[in-house]
Amino acid sequence: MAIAEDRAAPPETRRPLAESPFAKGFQRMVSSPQGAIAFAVVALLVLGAVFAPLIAPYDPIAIAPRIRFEGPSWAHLLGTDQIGRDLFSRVLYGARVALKVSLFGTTAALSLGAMLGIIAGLGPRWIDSVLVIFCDSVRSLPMILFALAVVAIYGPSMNTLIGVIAFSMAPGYFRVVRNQVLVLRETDFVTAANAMGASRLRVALTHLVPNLIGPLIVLIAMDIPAVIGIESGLSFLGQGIQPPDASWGTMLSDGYSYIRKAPHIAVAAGLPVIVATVAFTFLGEALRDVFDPKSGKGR
Amino acid sequence: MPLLEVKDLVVRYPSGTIFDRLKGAPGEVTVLDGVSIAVEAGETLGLVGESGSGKTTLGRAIAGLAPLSGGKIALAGDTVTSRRDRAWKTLRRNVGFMFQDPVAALDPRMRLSSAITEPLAVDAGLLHPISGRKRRRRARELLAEVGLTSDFADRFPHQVSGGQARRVTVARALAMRPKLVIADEPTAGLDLSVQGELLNLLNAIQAADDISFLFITHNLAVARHVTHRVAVMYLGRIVETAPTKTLFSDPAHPYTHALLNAHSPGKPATRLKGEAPSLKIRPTGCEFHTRCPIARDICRREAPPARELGASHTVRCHFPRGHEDLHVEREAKAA
Repeated sequence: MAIAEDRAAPPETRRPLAESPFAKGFQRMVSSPQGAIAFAVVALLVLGAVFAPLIAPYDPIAIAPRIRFEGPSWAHLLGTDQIGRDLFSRVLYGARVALKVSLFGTTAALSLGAMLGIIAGLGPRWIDSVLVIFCDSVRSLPMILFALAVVAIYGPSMNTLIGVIAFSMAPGYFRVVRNQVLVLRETDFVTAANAMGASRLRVALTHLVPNLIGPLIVLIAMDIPAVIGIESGLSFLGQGIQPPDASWGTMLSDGYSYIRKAPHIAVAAGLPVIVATVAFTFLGEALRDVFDPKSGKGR
Repeated sequence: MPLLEVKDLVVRYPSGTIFDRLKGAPGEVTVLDGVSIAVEAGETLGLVGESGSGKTTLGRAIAGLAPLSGGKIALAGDTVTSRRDRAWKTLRRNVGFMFQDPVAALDPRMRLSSAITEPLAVDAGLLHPISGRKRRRRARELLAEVGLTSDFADRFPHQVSGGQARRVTVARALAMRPKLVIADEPTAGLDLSVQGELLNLLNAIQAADDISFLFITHNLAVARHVTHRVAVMYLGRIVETAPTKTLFSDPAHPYTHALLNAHSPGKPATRLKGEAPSLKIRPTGCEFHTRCPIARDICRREAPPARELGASHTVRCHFPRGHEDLHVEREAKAA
């Protein structure tokens, strides 16, 4: 019949279909200057952290009493600290710690929160109520105090740190996932899947998870600065990464002690925290623009 | 035996807070109140009525998407329930459902090839997934059936127009070769030329595969064009069922008459008084008496029974148009 002819796609809409949505999203993310700079800085941080053993000019915990409190020079790009350790090397190894804690902490928080969120959103009402009350209670705990209490019990270590972060951040992911699931499960495409006889597991895997990924990636990027802050804060207080291991927090603590004599130590430790925080925040905002259809640029 | 038989179907939804209920307000809304319809194999039954008359709910109930508070739905002899057991799953193969909003009915993050073949994947089960290649091939075949080129398979829903999305949902509804397709307002939101194309497509599909359609619409012109029989709904009840020709030429229920009048230009419209009453506090007697131009005392007291006026022409009215004598006869009999 006459139906088929005019249904052919206009040629200009055909070409971009070959590109994956991820490639398109990436293009849009780096299309703004903030997004591009944020992405570049984050990429540098990640590369620096991953290849720290190759890049770092000195052993980050090697003591050299002769060159204590040296300012920045070509030999020591960021100078040395109170016992002669190279600050540039320590910053790189500190990035390793910060990113490791962020990565494992948020991943664990995300897995836990998303799983509980999907269960609460799809399961019976009483499970939902129990989980909501539990997660709201966890959210109401002051994070630093809670962390200090846990460290007091289990002792300071990176694993404790990751555990604390996972536990205290999971409710945030839970809330987002649960609310999204409650919205998604009333959509026509989920109802359609139900009408086809799809099980809850299938609905969760084929419809919920793909629609949750976008908002969650944004949330992770936004949360990483907070995690870096917690890690540095606890390490600064002596409850996180333990000396002599390098962490931005322990370095800050050193710098704080000698801020009059050698301010470059505090600067060398504080700058990466600020740069990482700002970069991840901007990256999160750029990602939000990509994933949020209401950001105006359309998909 | 008809393909689909709905008998005295009642659908109630709980409503109001616990405080409303304590104050004595009814705790539920009766959306469908004793609905009976039948669809023969290869037939298109139109379901017309105002918004809120329960058309969509009836369609959803048949698709197993609404809680059944009473009555029975049977498809080819098997009872439909909202319980998810083995029988429910086999029934799903025989019913295709098209939602009102075709774009909302497609997952924005799922390629159309996956969306179209979703019924097949669901039927195969999570443990026996169909390969992506097979699904894409089947999707292209289905796309061809609804007149779309195969490059639509790799698109996302936001990359197609409303009319194309509608065709995609038709393709999905047909994926399992169902015996019955429930089409909820399939022409809504389409401009006239696209509407025409779509209706031709549905007609062609029906002719080829002998599929029955339950065609839910408020558009009488569309109903007239594609249906064999029409059931008119008002406030959760079927008030009149008749072959399409009879219904349009010779409507017996005053509500049907008013609906047709409201849609035919030229004639002076006999406007209905007021709005449809609340489903929560349903009128006594005949539901329509609050707005009926010919209501009498008996209409306020007694619900009219279903009456056969002719070949498969049924009406629920004490005083059907053109058959006013029926009531007199009945009174005489009673006396």
